[in-house]
Amino acid sequence: MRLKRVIAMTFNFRDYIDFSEKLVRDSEKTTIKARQLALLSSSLIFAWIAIESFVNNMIDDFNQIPPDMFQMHEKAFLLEKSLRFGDKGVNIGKFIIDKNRNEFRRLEDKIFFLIAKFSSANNIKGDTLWQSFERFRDKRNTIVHPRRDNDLSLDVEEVVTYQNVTKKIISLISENVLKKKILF
Amino acid sequence: MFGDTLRGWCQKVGLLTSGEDFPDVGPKSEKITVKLARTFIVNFYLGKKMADKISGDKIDKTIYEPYLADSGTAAYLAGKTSLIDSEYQTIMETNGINNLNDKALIEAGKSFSNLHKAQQTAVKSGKGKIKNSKSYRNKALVESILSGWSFVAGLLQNEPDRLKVHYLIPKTSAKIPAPLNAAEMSRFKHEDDPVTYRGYGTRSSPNDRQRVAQLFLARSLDEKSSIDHKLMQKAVSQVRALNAFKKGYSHDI
Repeated sequence: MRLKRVIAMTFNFRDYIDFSEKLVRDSEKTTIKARQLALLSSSLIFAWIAIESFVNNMIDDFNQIPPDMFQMHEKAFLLEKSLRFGDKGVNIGKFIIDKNRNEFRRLEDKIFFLIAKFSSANNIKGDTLWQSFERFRDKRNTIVHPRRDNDLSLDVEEVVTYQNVTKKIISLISENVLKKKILF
Repeated sequence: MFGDTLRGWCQKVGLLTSGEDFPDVGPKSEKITVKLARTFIVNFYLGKKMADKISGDKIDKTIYEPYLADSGTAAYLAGKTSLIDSEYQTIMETNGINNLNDKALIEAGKSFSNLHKAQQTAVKSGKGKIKNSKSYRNKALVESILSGWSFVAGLLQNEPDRLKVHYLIPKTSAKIPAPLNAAEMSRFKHEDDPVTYRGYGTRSSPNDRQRVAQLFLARSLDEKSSIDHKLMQKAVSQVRALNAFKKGYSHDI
């Protein structure tokens, strides 16, 4: 029966990880290959969303404190808005954050910003974890930007690997920014 | 050591009725205890002392950890030299016993007493289907709530507009049946909180005290704000963000 009422809820990174893990378990209960692949693809996407959720909520935390605790370009970055030079009115000659112009940032850049801003860690791109994250991102891109010529291949082991990457990336950010361990 | 000064102050501000004494067994009582009254006094003066160091927008760029006084018995049994909490003793001795006649402290005490009574009345009324439980009725007497509220009362002594808002009873509505919104506080949980976390302002941990102080501080910026989920979320976000600045390797604030 089709659900008629609208369901509205707020999920956090833990919920998304749970969804991802549940979908893997569901994929193991079916023998239909297309269904297995659909479930594993969905699982991978939820694992990716978990990182997005964690990072975006953390950025939202920083948007709740007095704005002058950040440089203006940092604040524009956090708000994902454009920074421009005012050429008329009361803002003439001043840099202003244009709240009408979005400037969306890549997840990777948000992670780099948070870690660079609040810790002394450097060169995280050289780490094996980051290489795994990049493979995860590429696979996610294959799923959300499908092309006729690109076969989608996934197995349980690979998705579980990416779920672990999600947990490690979230831990990396938490430990560097909040100096706090996350328990999964 | 300080006679019945504390009891007299509680009676004066309405936290005890005239002639009433502190309860013998704190946890079972619905009255303010000696420990809580001392905690209130100490935090008011700690906040006031902080207000002399920082002012204006710096108030909102700092994270605060309200103090929790030892109960006399616990301190004594722990081998401390006195039955009186050391911080309370210092504050009383520094300011003199007449200190409890401090008009600002009395005003803070009366405002807090009004909040406590408003919370009790709202919960007992049964409006909004709120459960008439002791923990909801006495939400103001939870250690983190009381210490956070009194610290902020001291902290805002040089900010009269914000202090006025802090002393107003938070607005209620159909969705927020009691000023301290105890039911919503109990449900609140941040994604980072451990599974054992029991909700906003339900425990006395340093983290909870920080969050509650931030909640009242955030509320003091807007006379119309209620203690709702959004304000709780905002306060927790602020604590997390300010903690990152505090512990990070970035520039100091």
